Amino acid sequence: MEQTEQSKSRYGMVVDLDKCTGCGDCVVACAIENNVAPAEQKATERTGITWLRVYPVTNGEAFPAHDAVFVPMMCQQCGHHTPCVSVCPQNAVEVDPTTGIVGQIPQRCLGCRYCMTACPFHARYFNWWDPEWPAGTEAQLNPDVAPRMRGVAEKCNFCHGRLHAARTRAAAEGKSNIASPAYTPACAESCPAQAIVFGDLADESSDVARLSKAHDTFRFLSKLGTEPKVYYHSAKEWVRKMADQSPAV
Amino acid sequence: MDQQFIPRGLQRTSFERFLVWVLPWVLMLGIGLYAIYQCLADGLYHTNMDNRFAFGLWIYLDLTVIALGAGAFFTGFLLYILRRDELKAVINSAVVLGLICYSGAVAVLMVDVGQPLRAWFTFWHPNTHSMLTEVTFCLTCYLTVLVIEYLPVILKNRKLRQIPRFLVFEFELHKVMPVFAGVGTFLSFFHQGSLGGLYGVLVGRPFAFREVLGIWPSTFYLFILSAAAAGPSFVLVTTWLVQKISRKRLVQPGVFTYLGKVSGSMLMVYVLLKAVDTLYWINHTAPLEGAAAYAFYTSQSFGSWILFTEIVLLGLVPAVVLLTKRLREIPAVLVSAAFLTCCGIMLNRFVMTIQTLALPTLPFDLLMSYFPSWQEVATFLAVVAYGVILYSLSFRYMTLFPQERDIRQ
Amino acid sequence: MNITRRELLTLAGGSVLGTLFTPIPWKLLDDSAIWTQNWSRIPALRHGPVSYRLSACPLCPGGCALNVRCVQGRPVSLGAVPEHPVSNGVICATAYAGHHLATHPLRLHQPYAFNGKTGESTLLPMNEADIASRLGGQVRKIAQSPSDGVIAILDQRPGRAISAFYQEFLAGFPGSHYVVAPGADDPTLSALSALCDFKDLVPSYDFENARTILSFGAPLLDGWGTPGRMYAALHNRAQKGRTLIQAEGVHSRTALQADTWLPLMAGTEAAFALAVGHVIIQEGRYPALVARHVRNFPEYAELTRAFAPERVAQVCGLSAEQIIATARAIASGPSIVISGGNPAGGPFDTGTETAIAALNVLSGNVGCSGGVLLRAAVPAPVHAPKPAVSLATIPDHSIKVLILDAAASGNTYPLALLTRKLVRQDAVVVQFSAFLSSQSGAADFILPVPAPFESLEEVQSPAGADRAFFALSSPFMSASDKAVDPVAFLSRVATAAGLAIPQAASTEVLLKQRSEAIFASHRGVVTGPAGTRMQMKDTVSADDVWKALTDGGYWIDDSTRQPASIPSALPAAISAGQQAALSGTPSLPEGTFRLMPFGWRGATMTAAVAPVMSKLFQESNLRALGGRLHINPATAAACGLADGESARITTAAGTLTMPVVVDASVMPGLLHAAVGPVPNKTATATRPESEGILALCSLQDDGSWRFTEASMGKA
Repeated sequence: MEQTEQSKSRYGMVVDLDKCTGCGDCVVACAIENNVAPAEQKATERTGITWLRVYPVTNGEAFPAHDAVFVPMMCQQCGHHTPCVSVCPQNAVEVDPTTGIVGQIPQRCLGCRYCMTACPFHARYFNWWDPEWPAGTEAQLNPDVAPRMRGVAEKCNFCHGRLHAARTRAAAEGKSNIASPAYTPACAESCPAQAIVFGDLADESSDVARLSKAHDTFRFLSKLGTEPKVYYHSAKEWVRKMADQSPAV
Repeated sequence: MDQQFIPRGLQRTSFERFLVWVLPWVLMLGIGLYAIYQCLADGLYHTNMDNRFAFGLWIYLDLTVIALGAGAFFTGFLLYILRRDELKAVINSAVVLGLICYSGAVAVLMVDVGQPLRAWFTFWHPNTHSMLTEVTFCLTCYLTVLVIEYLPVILKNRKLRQIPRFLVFEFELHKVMPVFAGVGTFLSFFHQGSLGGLYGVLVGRPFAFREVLGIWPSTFYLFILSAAAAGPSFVLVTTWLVQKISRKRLVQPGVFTYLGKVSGSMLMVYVLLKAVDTLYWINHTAPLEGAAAYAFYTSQSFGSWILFTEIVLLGLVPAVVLLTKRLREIPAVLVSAAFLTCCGIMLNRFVMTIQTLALPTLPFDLLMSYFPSWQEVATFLAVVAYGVILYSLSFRYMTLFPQERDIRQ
Repeated sequence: MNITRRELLTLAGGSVLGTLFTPIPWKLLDDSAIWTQNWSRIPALRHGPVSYRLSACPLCPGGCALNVRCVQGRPVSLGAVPEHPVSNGVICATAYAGHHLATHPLRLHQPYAFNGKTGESTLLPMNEADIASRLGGQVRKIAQSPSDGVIAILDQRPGRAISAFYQEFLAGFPGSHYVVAPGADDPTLSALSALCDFKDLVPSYDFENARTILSFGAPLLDGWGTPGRMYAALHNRAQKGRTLIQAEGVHSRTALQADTWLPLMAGTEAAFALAVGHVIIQEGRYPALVARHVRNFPEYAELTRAFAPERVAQVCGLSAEQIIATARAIASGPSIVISGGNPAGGPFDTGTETAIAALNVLSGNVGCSGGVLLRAAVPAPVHAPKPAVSLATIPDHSIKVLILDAAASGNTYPLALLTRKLVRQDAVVVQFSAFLSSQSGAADFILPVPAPFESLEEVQSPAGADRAFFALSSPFMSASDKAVDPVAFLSRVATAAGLAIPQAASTEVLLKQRSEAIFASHRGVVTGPAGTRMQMKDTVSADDVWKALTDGGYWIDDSTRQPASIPSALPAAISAGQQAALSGTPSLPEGTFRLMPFGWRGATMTAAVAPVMSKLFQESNLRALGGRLHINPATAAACGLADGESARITTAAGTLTMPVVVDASVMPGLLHAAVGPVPNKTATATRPESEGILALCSLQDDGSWRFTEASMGKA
């Protein structure tokens, strides 16, 4: 039975950078939820897989004028000209029209990495190694999310496994519609500072819609025109300015 | 011992000397095959590519050899469609070069992708919006065309001609060759263009992104033009090289100058349009994406010298030289200019692949660095070795240069 | 029949063409694609009925409640318990991956004799009975002639039922020591306990009602105490009128969140604290009661006279105004002054800790709401007969048998603190541990205890917690047969030694006794897993309490009535070191730096972290990877070092080469050395990680190792 949320939901997030302490809860909770394997021995920050990566970003000033924020960067779920969708040669990247979530189908992925080249947020990761867990840990994997294989790209999908589970539960209860949103992604759930607010941007009354329009809320690389559905908030001016800056080479 | 396979009237070195020539290349190929085996069996962690530098030496190689291999389609186009009969002298060689370049590119691509066994998914679940789909479709079809174009060259071999059926087949094939040349040209237009479009559509990469002209970004057209310029130059340079290595005169001097003229004209058009495109990009496209174009050229490794080299030193200069009759007729100048043309196109492909990926996109990122692993280099060299071997075999056993017989050595 | 070549070719061609019309090639293509999706190395998911159960996290003393999601009884994820009164719906990253620890590659599956002292470290498989009997022989000799060396047990988490057992066990040996591991207590509260007489009560911080919190580098928002409590107390502070002042030489995670960050020169904390005291006294901002009732007030006033803010400001890199403003802030209302300690850097020296703690006394916040309050301890069945001592008070080369407790403290300390206490010959160190840890390097025998979540473990309110709290980490995985119960093992040792020492069957028996003691105390409330509340003062059965606790329930004490007055004192003198710091010249000679190890609680290598923590340490730069040296760009430039290059650090204790991370958050001149995990899932349990920079720290007489003078050059 096909389930639809409100026919035109747009799931999104607002991340309050002023609240984020960089503790790393979201990163680990995400990896556990989505069965992301631990690093291969030789993996580095450029070959590892972190669907959600938290970047420490500084204002570039010398001590003690130094200031920093932690920027949790997951797939920004671009809503317009989604860079990774149009480039995939075999439709392994799809936008769910009912939620606006950009999904990745690892079983269809060729591993050409064109999508990774296309993504300005570096939110896509490639399986350079066979994902491997220590013996015995495989039995503790989340049964709702299929593990990937070597040679494919993967990325954050707003915990699609949880959405799927919510839909299945609703179907089992005979409901044709589920609340929007019917779930919370692992990162938002785990954040001790409640810095991540998840919800339906299309629902004007939702917290996330209100916060996305709040003062001092911004998006990274907004000038690219890809309309990300992940918003950030900071009262610090240097942070807001930085978000749209051309990177200093 | 293999004399009976060597075309009549051609002087070829002894089999032993040929073996000595080929052996190092076979060795190089062998090392490359081992590197390829490692990547296929264990995973792509043997390369130095990473999540930020998701494309590397191999994609650069693909783009470059396909641009250089454009000699096949462009020569075919001039010969069969525009009826420039002087090009008969090099068409066979051009076809072999094309075949080598394209098959090499496809082979490397199959190592480069993480799941080569799923390559056919592109035909099963094609995304018609993807430039890579266009590339894949055209590349596969054109490779087939190249094989068909290569067939008569093989079938003309002295031994094979003894089979009457083959002779008939070759004759029939020859009659329809203009059709294949036409199809090849059409396909080539698309995939050369699509390879350019590959980067031009990257809305997330302000360095590569170009606005759409018609239905494709401007890089689409620039890549076609630059490939058309590089192809004849590459045929010219390789023919000259083969002459030097084999110590034989293979074509009439007029063929060289004609190739140079064609290449020069295409290059001039390309350079002018590229300049216009660059200016428009600096002043309009990049600022629209929130990027100051000068910022792309502030690093040590990718200073504005790279832009100057690409457009002027390796673009305008060889174009002017090739279009100047007096200069073109000095063989050394002609070959040098053709060589510079090839270098210019190689630099362009380098910039589009490597600089695009090296430049950061996130405001807090730094310039990315990448240096290929030995497996990547070995695979690259394996393609070169494969090309040399296939070309050497073709040169020895087939008639690549029909004029060779008639020219007094 | 003659087959011509032509016929053969026709056949071949026809076959190829014909095959295309059969399913064979297509099926092959399809199967190859399916094969790539079902490689045997891709783990198969195990589906089944989902259930949830409650437990508590034993990975550090934080005492966080856990909600465990199980599929077919196997844990697949750990989560926080929303609305939990202690942990407030928060757990840390380490806990999120806690269920992966049982299968950690560094996991010990059987007893070993460890020969780590010859350089060629090897693990020799042993059996528990052999170790018990060998240890029994040693122990009997010690009991007979304590002059050759004594026995000591190092407790990582004092106050547990097993702690009392250790104390009882040691009571049978003359001269033995029950030692509390360095960093196990809150250093400020320890210093306060020396100044004030808290009697049987336990001091705690009342963050929930404080107006100003002055922290000397305490990682309050980075793992200190119970994370959920600290987030609740420190977030949205503005609305609660609460201010956090963080004084430290690093722009740490807590400093970034603080209302005011004072970039205090490392090593000048005592001078700064005394200058704050100076301002409070000079401006008369202390309560009148303090001047009247606190001992040594005049002496303290005299002592601080020399610490005028203008003078101290030059030494500690701040302005006099900042010192004055800080003093006014903590004197203006309920306030807490805390040093907190560092999970790898430990406490400051005793003099500094005393100077910091004294500000709580001076501002009149001991025993006041919003300051340092007193609470009762968790009820215990027996009164511990053996007082706890710190390692520093034990004479060097006096311990013959040292037993290292298994509990995860989350903290670490230099191994030399232990090894210098051992007799020079024939000392035996026995480690209880589930993992090969950095401390295994000092061990002779390693006994594998159950991994976290494989056995019942005790979880209590951490140091500084505002109320007594007790829960059990109830297991949701089964332990192996080879796992050793320390209680049963020590009882066996006692039997082997032929000593009449109190024996107990197992840890579980001790825990049940404690549960009964809680029941018998008539104090507090047990909340069961379903939310049912049992008042201990009403008649419920001890079995109900035990059942509720083993099912994931928890006990919380009633609030303690504060004593009317707490006899307190202020320090009358300070050490020569702090006097020197005031001389106005930089205390370090040219070309030397201040080495300061730091770590993140729970990830300091005294226990394993789950391999997936590589996301924080290895696959991103969110957390400082162990073994990296963080230095200011100016420091790096002065030594000709660039990011990623290796630096050679030399201290009195030796030389070490470490890669450098250029980091503008670190004060110039400070060598901020990360102690932590190098997550590596393919590591095999053959040798422990070296303790790295901790081996280079100079150990003070008071057992602290916070700062070490070091020189640095390019390696």
